[in-house]
Amino acid sequence: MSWNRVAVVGAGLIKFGELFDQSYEQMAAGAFAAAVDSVDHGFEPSQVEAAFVATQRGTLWGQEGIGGNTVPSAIGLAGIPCTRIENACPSGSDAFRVGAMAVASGVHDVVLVIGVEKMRDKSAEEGLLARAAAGHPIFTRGETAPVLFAPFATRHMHEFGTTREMLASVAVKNHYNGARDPYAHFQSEITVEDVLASPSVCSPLHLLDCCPQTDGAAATLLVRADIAERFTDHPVYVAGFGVATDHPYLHEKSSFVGLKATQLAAERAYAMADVSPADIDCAEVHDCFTITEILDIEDLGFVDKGKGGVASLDGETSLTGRIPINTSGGLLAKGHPIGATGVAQLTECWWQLRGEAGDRQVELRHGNALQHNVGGRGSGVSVINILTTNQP
Amino acid sequence: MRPRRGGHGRIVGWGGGRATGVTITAREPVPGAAAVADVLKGGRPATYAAVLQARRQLVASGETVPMGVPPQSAQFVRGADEMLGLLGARCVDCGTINTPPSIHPHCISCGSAKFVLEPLARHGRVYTFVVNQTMPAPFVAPLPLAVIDLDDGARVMLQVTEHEGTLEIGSEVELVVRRYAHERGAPVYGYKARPYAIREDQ
Repeated sequence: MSWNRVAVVGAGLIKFGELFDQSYEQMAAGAFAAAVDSVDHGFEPSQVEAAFVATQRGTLWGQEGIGGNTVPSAIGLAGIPCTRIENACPSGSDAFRVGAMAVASGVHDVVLVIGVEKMRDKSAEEGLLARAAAGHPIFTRGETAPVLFAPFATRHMHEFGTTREMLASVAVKNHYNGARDPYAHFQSEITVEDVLASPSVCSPLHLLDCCPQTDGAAATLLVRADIAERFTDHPVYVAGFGVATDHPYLHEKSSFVGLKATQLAAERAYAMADVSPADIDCAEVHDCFTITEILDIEDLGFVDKGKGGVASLDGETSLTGRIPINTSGGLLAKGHPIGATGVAQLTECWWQLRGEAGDRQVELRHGNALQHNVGGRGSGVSVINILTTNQP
Repeated sequence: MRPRRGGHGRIVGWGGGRATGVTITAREPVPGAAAVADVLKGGRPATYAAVLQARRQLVASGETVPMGVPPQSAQFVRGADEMLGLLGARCVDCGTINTPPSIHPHCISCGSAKFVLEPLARHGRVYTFVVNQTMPAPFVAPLPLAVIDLDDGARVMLQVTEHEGTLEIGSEVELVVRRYAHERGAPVYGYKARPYAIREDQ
C-alpha cells in the first residue's frame, strides 16, 4: 500500500442522552476533552493540526451553518483548519475516514475527528418526522425514517421466515449491552415481550425496534503510525475503510433483503485491510432499527443471507457469542446522535481492542474490530472502517 | 397530592417522546393547595392522541395533506408529466423503466442517458409495504406505503388508498388519481394505489 499508516491514540465521548443542559459547543468540548484525557502519555491540544467535524443536520436545533467554523473555537483551537463532513447517517464514520486520509496522505501528522449532533432541542414533529413532507411531491409522501427500513423487514420476513421475535432479540441484546455502557442513552434491560408489546411505529416495526433521538458527541485523535509511540504504548491502527453509494429512493432497489451500499463498502474495506469477516473480533454496526442490524450482519458476511434473524435469536451476536455485535448498546440503546454515532462506534472498537471495555469486553482473537454505518434516503451510502492492533 | 407539613410529592410528565420528573418538598402548608386539589378532582383522563389533537399536533380527519410547496412551484412544473401524466422513462439501451423521469437523468440499471417517455402500466402487485403510524400533522395514520411492481416492469412507491387493512405482499393494485393536497387555494393531484378488487366489486 502506498499510504502512510495511521494510528488512533485517543478516543472518547460524552454521556449520550437528552442533553438540554449542554449546547452544541459544550458537547464538542466535552468529547474533545475525553479524547485528550484518554491519551496514555498525555496530549497537548495545541498538537492538533487539523480537525474534521461530522454534524449531519444542524436544522434540528435551528442552525445549519455550523461545524467547520464552530468547533475549533468551541474547543479552544480557533485558527486550525477544520472541515465539516456531511454524509447522512455515516457522517461520523466518513469524517473519520477523511481524517485518516489526511494523515495517510502525509499532509497532517495529528488530526482530530469529532462528531457532534443536537437532536432533542426541537419536538419530534418539527425534527426528523418533518421529513414525511420532504422530497418528491408524490413518490415519497409520508416517508419518515422507519419507512426507509420497515419495507425490508416486511420482505425479510416474507422470504426467510424472520419473525418479530427475531427482530426483538436484537433490541433485547443491545439494551443488555447498553445497560453495561455508562455512556449509553438507555441504561436498562428489556425483554422480547416489552418489544412485542410496544406501540406500532411503522409496521412491522414497533417502538422498541427503533433507536431514540439522542444528543451526543464523540472524538478520536489520529496520528501518523510512526509517531504513535510518543502518545501511547498501545496504539490501535486504521487497517482499512470502504465507502459505497446506491440509488437513493426505495423504489429503485432491486432487493429488499439486503443493502447494496453495505455489501459494496464491505468488499472494499475487507480488501483494503486484507481481512475476512472471520478475522473480526467484534463489530459496531448500524442498528437504527432492529431489521437494520439483521441486514448488516448478513451484508457484512458475519452470517449467511437470510440467517440474520435466527443468528440473533440464538445469541450468536451477544457479548459471548461467535461474533459480538454492538457491544456499546448500539444505536438502539446507546443512541444515534447522527454525526457523533460513527465516531462513538469507533471509540467502542478502540476500547474493545485495548481491552478497556469493562463488563462489555469481548474475547480478542485476531485484534480486528469493524465499524459500519449506512443511511441517507433509502440507504444510499455506507461507510465502514476497520481498526486493528496488529502492527502494520 | 395534598401538600402538608414535611410532605413530599413527585410529578412525572410524559409526552412528545419526552419525560420530566420533579420532586417537591413542602416544609409548611401551601397557600391555596385546597383550591387546586378541588380543581384536580374535576379533571378527566385523556388519551395521548386526544391531547395531541387538542394541541392540534394530530389532525384526525381530512384526506388532504399540505405539500409544503405551492402547486405552481418549480417542482410541479418539472414534475407535471410524471405526477399527472404518469409517464415513466424507458431506457433506450437496456429497456429499464425509470420512475419518475425528473430524478433520473441517467438509467439506474446501465447509466445511459437516452430515454423515451411512455405511460406507465396502471396495474401491478405489491412487492413490499409498510403501514406508517407515526407522522406529524396533518398526515393521517395509518398510512400504507407500498413498493409496487407494475405490469410493464416499472417499480414505483406510492401511498395506498381504500385499502381496508387488507394489504399484503402480492396484492393486486391499480393506480388511481387522487387529491394529495389542497393548498393555498389549489388542489394537488397525483397517483395513489388501491386494491384492484375494489373495482371488480363496483
